[in-house]
Formats: sequence, C-alpha cells, structure tokens
Amino acid sequence: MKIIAILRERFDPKTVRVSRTRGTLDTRRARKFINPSDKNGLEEALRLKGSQKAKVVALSFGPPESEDVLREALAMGADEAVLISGESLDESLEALVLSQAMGKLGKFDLVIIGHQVAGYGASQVGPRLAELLGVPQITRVQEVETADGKAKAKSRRSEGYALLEAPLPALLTVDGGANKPRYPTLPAIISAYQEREVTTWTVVDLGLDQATLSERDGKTEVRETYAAEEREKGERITGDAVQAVRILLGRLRGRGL
Amino acid sequence: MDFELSKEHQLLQRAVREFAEAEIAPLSAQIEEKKEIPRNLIEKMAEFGLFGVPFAREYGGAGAGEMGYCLMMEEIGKVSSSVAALLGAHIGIGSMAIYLDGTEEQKRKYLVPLARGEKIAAFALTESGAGSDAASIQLSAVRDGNHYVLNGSKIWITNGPIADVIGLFAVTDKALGARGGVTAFIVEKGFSGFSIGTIDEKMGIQGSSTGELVFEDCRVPVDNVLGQFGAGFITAMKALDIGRMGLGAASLGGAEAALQKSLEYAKYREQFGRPIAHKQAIQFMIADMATEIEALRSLVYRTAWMADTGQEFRRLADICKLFGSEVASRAADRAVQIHGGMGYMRDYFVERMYRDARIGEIFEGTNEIQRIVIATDLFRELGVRIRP
Ligand SMILES: Cc1cc2nc3c(=O)[nH]c(=O)nc-3n(C[C@H](O)[C@H](O)[C@H](O)COP(=O)(O)OP(=O)(O)OC[C@H]3O[C@@H](n4cnc5c(N)ncnc54)[C@H](O)[C@@H]3O)c2cc1C
Repeated sequence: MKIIAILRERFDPKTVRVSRTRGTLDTRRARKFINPSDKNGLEEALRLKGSQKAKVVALSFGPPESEDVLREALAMGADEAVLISGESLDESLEALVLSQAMGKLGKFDLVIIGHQVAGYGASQVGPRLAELLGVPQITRVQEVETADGKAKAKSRRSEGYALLEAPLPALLTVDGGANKPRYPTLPAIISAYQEREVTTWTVVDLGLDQATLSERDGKTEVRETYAAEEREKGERITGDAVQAVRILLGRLRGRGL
Repeated sequence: MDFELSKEHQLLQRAVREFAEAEIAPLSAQIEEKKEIPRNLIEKMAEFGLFGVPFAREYGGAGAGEMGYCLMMEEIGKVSSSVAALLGAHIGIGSMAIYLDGTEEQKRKYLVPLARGEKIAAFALTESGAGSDAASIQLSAVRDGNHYVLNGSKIWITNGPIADVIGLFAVTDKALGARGGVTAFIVEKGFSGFSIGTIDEKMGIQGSSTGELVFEDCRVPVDNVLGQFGAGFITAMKALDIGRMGLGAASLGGAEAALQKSLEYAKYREQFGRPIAHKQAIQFMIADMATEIEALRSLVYRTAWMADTGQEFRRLADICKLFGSEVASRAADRAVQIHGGMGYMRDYFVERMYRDARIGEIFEGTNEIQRIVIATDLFRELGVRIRP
C-alpha cells in the first residue's frame, strides 16, 4: 500500500503576536511547525504502516524552508519525502499543484491531509484535491483502518461520529487532535538531516507554469469569515456518588430544569 | 560567527522539550516522593533515544555530539533534576569513559546497550576517604591470572543501585598514585564479590539513586581494563570534562525553569492592589536571573561547540560547572523569594528546585576545587605551578 501524507508548514499560532495597536500579526519571533492536523494525518499514515505493509510518502508544497517539515516527517518514520518548491498560492491552486504532483508520484492507495490549517482554519485543500484526483473522500477522520480494498473511517460530526467506508484509492482529511503524534526519536532526527534525502520538484517539473499560476492566484473570492461558535465547556462532576448526585441536582435546579 | 543552532539540533531541542513536558514533568513530583524514576519512564526515555545522545550512531547513539548532549540536558534540567542526574551520570561520565577510552570490543559489548538505554551506567571514583582529593583513593586491584581482584568501597555513586555497568577507578600501584597508579575497570553488576547499598536520605534530587559499592575479592577479567593500564586517572578526568559541561547545561535548564516560574507567579500574585510584577524589587531579581541565564547559555553552547570541533575545552567545561551551578542556585534562591511563603512550601516546584540546585555546587568536583583547577590552569600559562 502507498500512502501520501501531505504536510503544510505554518506559523505556530502560539508564537505569533497580535499587535493590538496596528491590528496586525507580528511573526518576527514566530516559529514554524507542521500544521497540526497534517501531523495527525501523518501519524494516522504511520499507524497504518505499522499494522500492514505500507510505504508512506510525505509531500509538501511551499517555499524551500518547508523542507524542515519533511525532515521531521522522515524522522517520525516516513519512507520518502518530496518537496514541491514554489511560492504560496491560494487553496484552489494549491490543490491543483498537489494533484499534478500526485500524478508524478504514480499509483497511490490513500492520500491523507489535515482537515484544517492553523491560522484561518480553512479546510479547502483536501476536498478540492479529491475532486481533482477523482477519488472519494472522507472528511474529519478520527481513526482509519483499511481492509479488502476499502478505507473504513470514523468521521466526526457536530454531534458524535459517522462510520464511513470508501473504496481505495481515496482521500482522507484528518481532524486536528485525532491522535497523539509520535515523537521522532533522537537518532532518527539526526539521520533525517544527515543521511536522508528530500526530493525537490518545482512547479515547472509538474508541467505547470509559475507565471500562469501567479496570474490565477488570489482569484478566490472570500464571501465571509466568521469566528467558530464557542461551545459551552462541559463539566465533569467527580467524587462519591451521593455527593455527585447532590451537586448535579443543584446545577439542574440552578438552571430551572 | 554564527549563533544559529543547526537544523537538526533545533529539531532535537524541540523534540526533547516536548518529550520532557509531556512525559517527565507530570511525574517529577512523584519521582521525588517515591525516590525512584519509574521503570516505564526509563523505557520510554530509552526508546526516544535519550541515553545515547552524543554517541555515534554506529554505537547505538543519536550522533548528536556534545551540542546535542547539552541541549538535551538543558531541557531535562528544566523539568527534573533527578532525571538530569541519571542521564548525566549515565552519559556524561559513566558511558563516556567507555566511549573515550574503550577498545572497539568493549564499545560493542558495553557502549551499544548503554547508548540504547538497555543498560544503565555509573561512574565510581569517590571513596569515603577520597572526595576532593580523588587521587588518594584506596580501592585496590591486584592481578591474579586472567583477573584482577578488587577490594575496597566507593560511596555516593549516582545510579549505583540501578546500574548494570560501572566505570570504576582502582589503585593498581600505590607508589605511583594518580600518576600511573590508577587504572579504570568496567565492572558488571553481576560480578561476584560486588554488592551495592542504597543511600536514600538526601537534601534534594531524591529521585536520583545514590549508592555505596562494596568490593570483597571481586574478580574482574583483564579484558575489562578500560584504557591504558595505569592511565585511569586521565580517563576519569576526560570523562569529567564532558560531565561538567553537561552539569552546566542542566543547571542552565534549572535556572530557566526558575525564571519561568517566577515570571508566571509575579504576573498573577497581587499585593497592594497590583501584581507584584510591578514592584521594582521583583523586576530586579527577574532581570538578574535573565542576565545570568543568557551569559550561561552562551558559555555552555560555546563550550559544546569547542568540544565538537575538536578544540581544547577543559577549562571552559570547569567554568560551565562552576558558573552554571551557582547561577542555578541563585536563580532558585530568587525564585523562592519571589514566591514568598508559597516558595517555602514543601513539594512546591521552587522549593524543590532550591534543594535540587544545591548539589550542583558539590558533585563532579566541588566549586572550591573548580576554582582551584581554573586558577591553576591560568597560572600554568604563565609558568607558575600551583601546588594543591
Ligand atoms: C548526591 C551525590 C552524588 C554523587 N555522585 C557521584 C558519582 O556518581 N561518582 C563519584 O565518583 N562521586 C560522586 N559523588 C561524590 C562527590 O563528587 C563528592 O562528594 C565531591 O567530590 C566532594 O567530596 P567530599 O564529599 O569528600 O568533600 P570533601 O573533599 O571532604 O570537601 C569538604 C569541603 O572542603 C573543601 N575542600 C576540600 N579540599 C579543598 C582544597 N584543597 N581547597 C579548598 N577547599 C577544599 C570542599 O570544597 C568542601 O567544601 C556524589 C556526591 C553526592 C552528594
């Protein structure tokens, strides 16, 4: 089985400072990292590799510095790493570039990508890529297994989960926090930089033209951006049963229920 | 001049930080309370590659050099001084002696499992009558056929009770003393005539195990002579150079944690209607901590860089140990002060730090001895020979 795990390099939001006076983002001291849900996607790919014979190819599209996310992926256990080096583009073109790369990578069984990107929280690239590749997709995956040429995934819904199946090849978008990504071991980290290879392609190698891409870039019309609705935090009442029931009753009465 | 860490070292630093925060920090209070580092944490640490950071990959290490070793010790020093002591004794001095002076065969047999964390190492030099004056050790090794027969004892040996492999220093020629009369041996836990006692009441680093090693006609094969016969004292000093640099790195981590805790507390603790962060007295302590920390960081990283580039770094390693341990102690002291009564409460993080930091000024050569060694080295350059 061949799994392509797509990784995007992003600023760690915790290290980005918001300038209150100017209303802008200050990234001078910010640190870049693997977009968290992409990292969960890679972890899912590596788990599949652990349970069956599979090859995991880490793929990234971005500036040359994105190589670091691929080195980290190699350290975590990816078998190969490919960087498409190019200027950043909007989501629709990013999906186009990735689909071309997929063509060059040859036959695959699964493409795994994070559901959202850190920052604005857009979830465009995965679904667009699946459309371009003409493969079925399961979004917001929490857990996946493959058997008999099918992917079976637990997909998150606003309330609970749906258990979905898709014939391979397929694309999965994995939810942030779906799993706990493994640590790259220390020997693997040094080896990822000193011994392993990252294949680098440019958009030209993929039969695309940077000028045309730049011209088409930014044509996406943003209709609306909105803050995610804040869900009220649940509360766990602990302690012995009698005590807990008393507290619970108190809370319910307090709400007039 | 380039002050940027290599990409691999940056990733190693981040990975160790994440590991330390997620896997060690939640257990650090329990480690002190139970006076033990849980076996399954040691296994996780081994799997992650913490036990062989500076050693070449062909010997089971990470191949991250002394810079990698120092970055690792700094991160571990932030969360648990006991775990830092375990790793410092295991890597910095115990395994290091074998790495530096072992034969190829000894490295295959002993270093590989040590670097992988399958076995734990200790370094045994100190005796009840020989602390600062390490050259006056008494434990004797007498040849008998294909073995040496060891008699005597060692005290306060970090990792002693949990070690599988011990780098041990014994007298093979009393007349020659440290100059040709001390030989290093690799001793296995199972050798007959060797027993271990645990010493478990300490002021701090209670999770680090400390032991007394007793040798009664203990037979060690001649193949286990480490380095050149009679050159054991040189092996010990070379390993201690790395150990002291690592101790400086762990102290750096400890001081950084003290600063971090102080910043957080000063931001929230209100007195006289405002967070104490607004009090200049608090700000001055914070600024002094930060200043010393940055000076120490530059010192430790530069020393590691010199070691990795094959330059003479002994004096700097001693300075790392001396300055580092005192910076950590001062930082812990200020952290306690900033926390007021909270800082004095048992098992509160800074109270523990205050006790833990103290050992840095004592082990691997007291700070008085470091000062003597540093000054002796400086005067030597002027042709003045200082006598102890
Ligand atoms: C928790 C712990 C872990 C340890 N781990 C190890 C280990 O793993 N392996 C190992 O071999 N040893 C270990 N030691 C031993 C440690 O290295 C010694 O305790 C240390 O070197 C000091 O020796 P001492 O305790 O005999 O003190 P002493 O040498 O008796 O010193 C007492 C005081 O006199 C001062 N002093 C001594 N000589 C001079 C001088 N010439 N000039 C000025 N002042 C002087 C000292 O600085 C000190 O202040 C450990 C000790 C402890 C407490």
